[in-house]
Amino acid sequence: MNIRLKFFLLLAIVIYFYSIIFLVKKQKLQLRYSLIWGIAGIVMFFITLFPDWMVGIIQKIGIIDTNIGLLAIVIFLLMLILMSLSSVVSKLDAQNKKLIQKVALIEYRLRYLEKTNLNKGEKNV
Amino acid sequence: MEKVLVIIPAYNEQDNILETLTALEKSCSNVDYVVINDASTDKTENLLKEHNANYISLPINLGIGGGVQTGYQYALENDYDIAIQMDGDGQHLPEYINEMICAINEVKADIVIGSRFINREGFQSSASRRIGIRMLSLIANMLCGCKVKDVTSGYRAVNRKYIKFFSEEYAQDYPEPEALVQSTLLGAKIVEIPVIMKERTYGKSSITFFKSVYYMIKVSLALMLQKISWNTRGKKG
Repeated sequence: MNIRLKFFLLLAIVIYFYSIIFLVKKQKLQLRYSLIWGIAGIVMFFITLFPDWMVGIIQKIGIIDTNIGLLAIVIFLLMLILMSLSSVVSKLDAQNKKLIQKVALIEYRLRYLEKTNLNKGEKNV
Repeated sequence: MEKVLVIIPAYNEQDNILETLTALEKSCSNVDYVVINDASTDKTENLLKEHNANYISLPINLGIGGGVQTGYQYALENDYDIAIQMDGDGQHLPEYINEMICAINEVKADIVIGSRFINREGFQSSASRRIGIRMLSLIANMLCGCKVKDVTSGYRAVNRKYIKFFSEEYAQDYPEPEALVQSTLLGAKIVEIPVIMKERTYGKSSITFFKSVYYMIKVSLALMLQKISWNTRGKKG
């Protein structure tokens, strides 16, 4: 990898990390969800600095073409990230459902109490 | 005398809901009911209010699973002994409610399913759906020994133990077959009784041929996943 390419890749990684920090600072990304993106950034950083390691790993796996190997690893990592996001969405969905049910039951109780009070008031009058 | 609650999930059922409630009040005066209005966008809620019906309104649509589970939570909070699920579209006839209660009390069943396919009378649904249901029943039987012919029937009664269980954990994606597989794995005694179901009076069912094939594939996969996750849970626990 030539120096110019390395420079631009490192610059892209710096922008990437800056974006993560910016989003966390603005509270648009929670710290715990930023970790997985941070780890992905660290992986990218090491690949840029030490590309030969990656080539070695790809060859050890048995992939002949380095480009295809790199692409396969990136797709695998992205799938892991997507899976973790699906798990977050599932958890939020379950919490949301619980909340909606609770609100509906409380609203029911409130309506029932209002009706009972109204009836009592009418009887007293 | 045990307390019985009929849970009626309803989503956009303005044309059917009052008829369903009238039929229920006429044939079963010994039971209470609660309609779960699943954030209907039509006049369902207004009609329930005008009719002075006992209803819970969900602020956001949760689907049949979340709606029915809210009914079970209500049953648990109000200390009911038996809860019966019955669709709000008028397909389920309330005449069978007392028979279901009897099956719970006398046969000591945990869950009673109202099945269209025992006597094969009344509305039997389209051929493609029947094949799909039969295959799902077969898969449920193979996975956990659940011997129910009508696994997708939404007409079912459960005892106190399962009111508590379903109020905490109730399948959301494909609730009817999933809940049955889950209960069988837990060791529930499930009894099926023959019922006659009507075709929807108003409105069309949204399930087409392709949708039912797609539904069958999805549910089969979901049931298999459920069984695998149950095995893993079982080994850990």
